[in-house]
Amino acid sequence: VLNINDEADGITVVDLAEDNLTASNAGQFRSMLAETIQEGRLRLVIDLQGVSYVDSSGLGALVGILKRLGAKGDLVICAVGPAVMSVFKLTRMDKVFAIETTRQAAIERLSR
Amino acid sequence: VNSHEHVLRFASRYQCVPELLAWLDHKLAPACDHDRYFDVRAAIVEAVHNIIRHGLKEDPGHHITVALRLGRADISIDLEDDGFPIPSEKLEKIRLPEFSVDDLDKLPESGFGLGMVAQAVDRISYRSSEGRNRLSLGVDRTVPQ
Repeated sequence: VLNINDEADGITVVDLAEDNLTASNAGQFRSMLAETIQEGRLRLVIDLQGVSYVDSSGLGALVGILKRLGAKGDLVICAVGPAVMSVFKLTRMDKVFAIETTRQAAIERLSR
Repeated sequence: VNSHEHVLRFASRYQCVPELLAWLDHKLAPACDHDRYFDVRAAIVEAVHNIIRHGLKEDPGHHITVALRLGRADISIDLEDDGFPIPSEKLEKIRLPEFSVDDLDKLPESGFGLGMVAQAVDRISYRSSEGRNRLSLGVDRTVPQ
């Protein structure tokens, strides 16, 4: 489900290997990222490039990761296509998540 | 089925959703404003996933039918299945969960489904009868065709 890459400054970039984050894979996504956080990776970029649809289960998994990181970590989501952005906006989650256009912009935001 | 009516029937499997999306991109997208299309597409994906997950308990041996009617002033979308109907208590309170964007601990992780569908469209109705369920969505066209 995921490709996890450690970058400079303690930043970890997570790519989805599938074109969706939905009920079909949200559980696995959530558990893999929980393990990643458990290992001490607390500054995360989730790159949604190539993800063409998300449902409420996928959205719930993202919220769960944000809450798990809590005040001790940071999360930026990037490369959100228009179909996925609709889900964020319809649920007002675009006001909750830090969202950047590109992976580089997300990394720079966490590096500040 | 005339040129303004389109029907797709597909197996009740998550793996069939890309086929649905390609069909929507071809049939529905040209009839919608760009941003509105993605909202309606998200609503249909959510509704179909709810049917597969909750209505059919992920049993792949069923079919879901999506019917589009592209009217001059509005678009209607009917989703039909033969699974368990949506519980009446959920239908009575279709709304998004309330939350404060600043209160991380209390952010909801579930309960978005039907509320998100309703948020994306102008009208929503539901009927279950004789083992068939029909969720009907209505979308106004900003520029009547």
